[in-house]
Amino acid sequence: MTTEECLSGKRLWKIASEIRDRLVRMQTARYGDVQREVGNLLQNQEELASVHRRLRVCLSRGWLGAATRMAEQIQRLFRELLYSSQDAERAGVRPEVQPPNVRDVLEELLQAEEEFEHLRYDPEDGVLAVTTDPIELEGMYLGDFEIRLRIEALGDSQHGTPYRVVALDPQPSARNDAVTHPHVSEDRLCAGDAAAAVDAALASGRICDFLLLVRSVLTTYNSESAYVRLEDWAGAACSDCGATIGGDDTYYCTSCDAEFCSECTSSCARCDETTCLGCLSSCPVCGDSVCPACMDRCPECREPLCCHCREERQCPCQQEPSDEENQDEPDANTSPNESNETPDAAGPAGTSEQTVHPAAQTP
Amino acid sequence: MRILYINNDGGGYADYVEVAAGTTVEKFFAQHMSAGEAGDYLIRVNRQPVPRDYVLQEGDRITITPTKIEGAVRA
Repeated sequence: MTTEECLSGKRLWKIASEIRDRLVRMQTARYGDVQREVGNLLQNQEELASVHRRLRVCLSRGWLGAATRMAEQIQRLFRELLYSSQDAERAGVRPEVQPPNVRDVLEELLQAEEEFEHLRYDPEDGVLAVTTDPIELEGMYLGDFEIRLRIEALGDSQHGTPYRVVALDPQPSARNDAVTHPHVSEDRLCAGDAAAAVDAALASGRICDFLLLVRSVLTTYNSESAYVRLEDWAGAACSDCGATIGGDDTYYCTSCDAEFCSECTSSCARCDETTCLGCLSSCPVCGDSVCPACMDRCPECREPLCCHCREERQCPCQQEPSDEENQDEPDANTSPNESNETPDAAGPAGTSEQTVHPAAQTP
Repeated sequence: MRILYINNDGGGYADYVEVAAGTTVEKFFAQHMSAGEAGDYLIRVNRQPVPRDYVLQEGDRITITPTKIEGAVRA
């Protein structure tokens, strides 16, 4: 970036003129909005007048059906008139901010030179910039920042905010290297409580006020609403093993919502959600690791098992007896006497132990 | 007498206000920023730092800008 420092009076005057011209164009565009909305309102009025004339003709000729349709159109036009008049009022009541004269803007730039020691201008990009002192918040060194205002973007909502906050000695957070300050992400400042005042200052051409406001935000820490909190700046600690984690190595358990490292995290065998090892439990039936949401209970014996085993009725209490077990029971076609065996009688070789049917036992 | 008062705290409005002759900057601050501490603000008159006992003049431009403003993450 080609930068001009020690701006001459002539250069400062040129910059002030550019800013002033930009603000004039901004206000012209605002008046254009008013003109458009009033135009819509007048168009609706003309249409209403036309329908009113046609209604008169319908009534004079006794065309009641057509008159009904005209009345319906009038109802619709009343509603549209209401909306268009509200839009026109909104466009017209925006606070009037008179563009400053060039001398006022020049004095703003001169004040900015005193407040910030150096005021720089990049003629290629049309960027005006100042550098803050090195910033340290609650003992965390964040380096110095450059506040860059792109003059051409003033009042141009299509390009978002017209300024950027760039770290010159970046000390990004370990959790997100795009965050160079608790309230700066990707070189964009979230002005918070200063947003309205910043907008008002820029709209009025109070460039130095704008720069001072941005600096005030950079030198203040709001722990309640930061992209990354200072206590997590160096990286969070795994909730299980305590290892420092940050950026892509941070995993969130969907069950307990805590943060873990990759070593202390896995996934549920059923729903595939990321789950910490502490929340995973093993299904006693199939042995798979499942999250608490996928762990269920047998509807009959109430023993824990995973949802899949429950659906498939895999609980041991729900299993059908095996063929080997069926051999121990008496054949339904044989008589009770034939199935009796004394405890000392030896069975056929190779057969399993035989049981005596309770009904066949002698008292 | 009339001065231009630019309050960069909150909405950042700028407006002309009437002040009594002989009003110092300290008194003006106490009247218009009663809830704040002067040490938490940058006070400039005609774009220059001034002592607290500076007496405001007709047509002066006074700016009060907080030095501590909380930023926030966009919702």
